[in-house]
Amino acid sequence: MFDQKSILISLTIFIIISFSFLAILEKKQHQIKDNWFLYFENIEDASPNFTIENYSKTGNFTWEIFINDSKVKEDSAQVLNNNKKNVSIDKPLGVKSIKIVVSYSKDKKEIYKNLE
Amino acid sequence: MVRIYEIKGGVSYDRRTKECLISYLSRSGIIFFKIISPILFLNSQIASLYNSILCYYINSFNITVCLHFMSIFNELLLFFSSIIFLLFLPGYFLLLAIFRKKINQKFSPIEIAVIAFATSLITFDFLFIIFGKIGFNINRNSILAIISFFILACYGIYKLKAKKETASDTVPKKNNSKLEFNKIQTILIILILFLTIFLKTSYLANSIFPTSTDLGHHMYWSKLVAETGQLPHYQKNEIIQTADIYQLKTNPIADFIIGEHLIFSGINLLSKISFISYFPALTLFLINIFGILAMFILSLRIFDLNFRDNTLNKKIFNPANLAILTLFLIGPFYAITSPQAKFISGGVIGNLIGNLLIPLCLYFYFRAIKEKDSWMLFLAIFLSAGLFYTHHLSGFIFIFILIFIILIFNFLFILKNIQTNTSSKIRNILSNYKNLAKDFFHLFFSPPIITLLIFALLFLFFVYTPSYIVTDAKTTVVGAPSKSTRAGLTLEQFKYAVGEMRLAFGIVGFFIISGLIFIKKKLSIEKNIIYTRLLMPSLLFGWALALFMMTTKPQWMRINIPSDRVANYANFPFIILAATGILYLLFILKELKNNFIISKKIQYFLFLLFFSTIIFMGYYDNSSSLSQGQKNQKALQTFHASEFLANQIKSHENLYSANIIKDHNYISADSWMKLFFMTDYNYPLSRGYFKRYEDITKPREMCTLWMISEPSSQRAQNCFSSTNTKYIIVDTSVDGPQFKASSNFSKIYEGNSLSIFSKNNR
Repeated sequence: MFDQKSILISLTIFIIISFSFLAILEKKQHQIKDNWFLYFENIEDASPNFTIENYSKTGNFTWEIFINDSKVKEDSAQVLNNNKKNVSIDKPLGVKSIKIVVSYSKDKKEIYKNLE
Repeated sequence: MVRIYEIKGGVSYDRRTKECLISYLSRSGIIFFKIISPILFLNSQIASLYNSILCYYINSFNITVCLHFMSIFNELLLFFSSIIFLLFLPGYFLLLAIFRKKINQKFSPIEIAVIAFATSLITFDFLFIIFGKIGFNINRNSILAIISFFILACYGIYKLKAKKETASDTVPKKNNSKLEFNKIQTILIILILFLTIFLKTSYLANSIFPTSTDLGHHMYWSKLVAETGQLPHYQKNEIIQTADIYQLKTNPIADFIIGEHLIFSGINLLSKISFISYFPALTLFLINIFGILAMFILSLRIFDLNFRDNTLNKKIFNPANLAILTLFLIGPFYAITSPQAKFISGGVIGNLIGNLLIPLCLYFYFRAIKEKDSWMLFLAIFLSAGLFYTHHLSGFIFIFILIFIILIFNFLFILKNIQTNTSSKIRNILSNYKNLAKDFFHLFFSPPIITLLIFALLFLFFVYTPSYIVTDAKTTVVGAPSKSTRAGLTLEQFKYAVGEMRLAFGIVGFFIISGLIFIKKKLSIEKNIIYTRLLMPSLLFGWALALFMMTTKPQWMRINIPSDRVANYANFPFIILAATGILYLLFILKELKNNFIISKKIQYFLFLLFFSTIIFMGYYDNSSSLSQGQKNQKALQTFHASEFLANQIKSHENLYSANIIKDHNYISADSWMKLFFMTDYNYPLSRGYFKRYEDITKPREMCTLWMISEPSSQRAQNCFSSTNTKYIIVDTSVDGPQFKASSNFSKIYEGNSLSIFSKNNR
């Protein structure tokens, strides 16, 4: 009964339990939490369209558009948890650069782009 | 002016999701049965049966509940079956083909498991290299075919040879009784293994998420192999400065060796589990566990010869107890510190494989000489060759270990001959050397060894030469130490590297083994007994002395490698020596009580004091090594930014030649970024640790520093244009301000801590 096979069987069980536990834990850790991202939809062209990607609680994101440091537009949109929203903006004529500032709760993020 | 689009609705598992789930599970299930079919010799009917059962059950249960667990369950099933298929079966069938019916006589079940694991690893590497060189596209099907063919070939040899063996050659299945354990010993081993795995799992729970720099670097090469199906060319783009001009040039890399990467490619190809997941760390964990067991079987065998029939109390001082104590000292003690669990989460692949192969190589060399078995020597050379195709530092250290073992053996051999009562001592020495040479000649010049050596040489020169030989890296590790970190550790530093308690008892063990060799008066002058009994002390003393000298006095050995890296290897011989020391002190304690010098109560008290000191010292180190907090959220931001940029570059053909630079100082898991782009090992370019730019012993390019630290400067602008660097990934709060202040850059992405800037075209 007490031979080396029982040691190997025990070892196999320990390994399976440990590895399964660690794998499940790593999968759980692979989820982005309490974070949101702001980026341009297309980084190469002159389009000012942007995306808000939300991994925090569902909430209202307020965005402002600045041209030459002057605010030209302000609006808000609700983005659900684990979702993203594309915001399309018609490219203003004769503008060299554009800045987009998005606020959510107390957090603020900004992106800006040369439109030439 | 503004339109808003909802890209993704709320999460609801509708019919489409259900169909997707069935499709996903079906695919992974079929892959699983494709892997397992060659093992079970079953056909694809099982796969369709699995599919039907799966659809039935998925339609019956709540889909939202089972989705998560089913996907993990499937992944784990694929992972475990890949491990069995790649890391157990080839080695087991190779052993079966070599030893046939004698396998149970030669090895105990634990030995078979450990040896099968290590030989599978090396066999897989060599098969992969051969077929890769022939021009086979390495993918799931070719791996399944190659490994299945190898297993069947080995099984065929086993059957063919087993039939030819006469009845007199056959041996009873269980005659390895010498290595059996009693009930208490078995329970002790199981408890030690449980404690070892439990402690390491506790540590890894906080560090299983893939963030470590080294592992990221290694996984790039593994992913490259899996994606291209070809063997990798170890090279990278480097910024080269000529006068004031900077340019990117492709240079070979000596630091990476193919054996470190292929097994991860194999597991990924079979299981389809992402490289950025738990599987690389779990594979390393498995290698670490088998490395510990390799030390266990080595100590069991080397002590078996000298302490089986010795004069000491057999109840205490026997090979099984010594091996259990070795397992205790290498398993739960110092379970977290380097080179244990910290090496697993840190992705120190080469060292971990080296720590598995070095004890096993010594195990086979020991048994080959002791038993005069050329097939044992065959496996020793096979695993040694595997070591040199896996990790050059381990291989280099192994050469020194062998040299020291040979020197110590000769020293002890001469000393023992002088001790004999013969009149002409020189003649006696020469005569014994002559007999020794005869034995070694028969062992080394046997058909399996000559065949293996010819194959090894052909393989080295015509099939695959390790990158460190091609790039002549040996010149950088041989010579006087070039830095203070290579000039050797002090004795104080060495003590902490090995572990105070292990070093202290190791020294005790050294004196006890020395005493047992020289104090024993009744010496047999029969040649075999003399030299085989010298194998254990030569192996332990040579192993320990080689690493002690390489760590503390590298200038004497003319080696130029970081001393703390060598020190990681030093604890292994001291663990076995410490096991001897501790057991001897327990033996003394028992003898004192038996001779009525101390009472039973005092004996128990001393025993408890003794063991609590050992346990305190071992576990104090574990508790101080536990990691603080998790880095996964920061790493996930890095992955998100990388994925965003990689997708953008892939969708714009004109960006293919654009370069990226990122910062290594403040970005978590930045070495994993390259896995999203798969363009070059050095893509994105990296601003390294600041101290490296100030290292006068190794001047390096400054472009990567300037492009992030002072992006508006003229020299940085020159670097941007000469390297075609267009995108910069930095920590927003630390390095964002200098980009924000410049009109040359746009900010195209922002997360909680990371930003991506792009260089404007004008």
